[in-house]
Amino acid sequence: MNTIAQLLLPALILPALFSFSLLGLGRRHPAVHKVLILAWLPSYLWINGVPEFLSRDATHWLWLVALLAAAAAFLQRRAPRSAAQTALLLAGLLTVVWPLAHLLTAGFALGLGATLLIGASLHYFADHRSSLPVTTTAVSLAGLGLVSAFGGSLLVGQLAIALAVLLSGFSLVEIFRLPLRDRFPLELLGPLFTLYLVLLLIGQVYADLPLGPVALLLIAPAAGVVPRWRYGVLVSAALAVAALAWSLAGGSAAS
Amino acid sequence: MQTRIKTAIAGLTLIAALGAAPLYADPAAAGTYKIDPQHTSVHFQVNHLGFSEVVGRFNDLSGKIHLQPNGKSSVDVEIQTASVDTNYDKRDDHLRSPDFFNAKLYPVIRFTSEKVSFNKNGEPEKLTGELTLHGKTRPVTLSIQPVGAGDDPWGGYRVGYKATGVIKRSDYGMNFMQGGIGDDIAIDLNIEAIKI
Repeated sequence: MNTIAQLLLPALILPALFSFSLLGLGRRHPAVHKVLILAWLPSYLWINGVPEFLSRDATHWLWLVALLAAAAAFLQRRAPRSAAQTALLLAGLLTVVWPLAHLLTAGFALGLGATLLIGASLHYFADHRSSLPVTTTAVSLAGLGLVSAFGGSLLVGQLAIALAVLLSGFSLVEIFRLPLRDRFPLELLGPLFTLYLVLLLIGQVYADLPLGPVALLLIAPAAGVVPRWRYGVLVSAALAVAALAWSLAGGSAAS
Repeated sequence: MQTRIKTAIAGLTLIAALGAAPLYADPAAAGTYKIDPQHTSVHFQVNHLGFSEVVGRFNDLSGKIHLQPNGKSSVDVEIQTASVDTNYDKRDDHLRSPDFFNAKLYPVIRFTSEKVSFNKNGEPEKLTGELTLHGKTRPVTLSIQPVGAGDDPWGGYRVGYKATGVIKRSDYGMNFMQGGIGDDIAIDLNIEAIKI
């Protein structure tokens, strides 16, 4: 297959198709929106290949993180206020942390602490209605994708961009204030943040993404979930662009 | 006069070459050898987008060879994954990333063999062993060509071989960008080892 097609199909075309298909289906059956994270799995399998059983490689566990995140989105309706969801998301995070554990350094431990703290904040604020939370998340994911693709790992980059594109349909609904029934279920934000943090963690630990841009990307989605703050998305976009510029200033990767 | 000078230069060159040359005619002496990393290279070659072949090398390796012509010989080589070098730092960083070698998770590439076949002159000609790369171990066969064996100028005894082979990176779970970056990896080793 043509190299450009190989890069674009799983990261852009396929998730865009899923995004708009789910958006359309969701008009009749709103619960369909909740499987959005599962729609990331075909792209993941295409980009990463079939994951190995009990692999020591964290990227081979991302399917499980996605499944846990998707399950968390469904659980919240029935379970008491997000306790079960939090447990599932924490399990998702730990799923990826254990293969990285042998690389544990003081810096890594600090980073993980910060990640958990910010992740918990995001998870908390995600329940509040902010102005453009989906667009903010998509912008942050796109930023992570570009920083990874140009600065460390095309694989992590493609995975993040695929997730960003998956949100594109819902982002348009959000930006153009289309009817509420098309809106993105906010209980999906916590699970999406978990996937975002996990990809960020893998990108930093395995692909040595520079710490400065990683720090900016870590706080980028936080700006967008501050309740009733209209300019959060612009701050997130500025942080993502700054992270990319910072990363590119250090040179870009190529194979 | 000019002819004499040319003859003298040719004579000196021949003497120098003979003096420095190892004993090519003899097969390597039995024993254990330590790989000399300064005179050993591990090169690989892979197709890039169908346009060209990119050549790379690993700069940090160590290992031992136990030679017992027509007996039980063995080879054990360790290569530090992070020492990959394709003469372009950013590409090397990318090769170390999880897209390819995932050098942090799999810091060592290892080749071990206990099956060395010899030709009728007692020289190794084929090496069958196991290559551990990217966390996976697969059988590999390398063709061996003896280059030289004999005393070195420092009182030691050395052997030298060329070894070539081809592996598929997909066999080792390195599947990223198949089609763009070739699956077949040609390996070309120049090994010099000192008897210990």
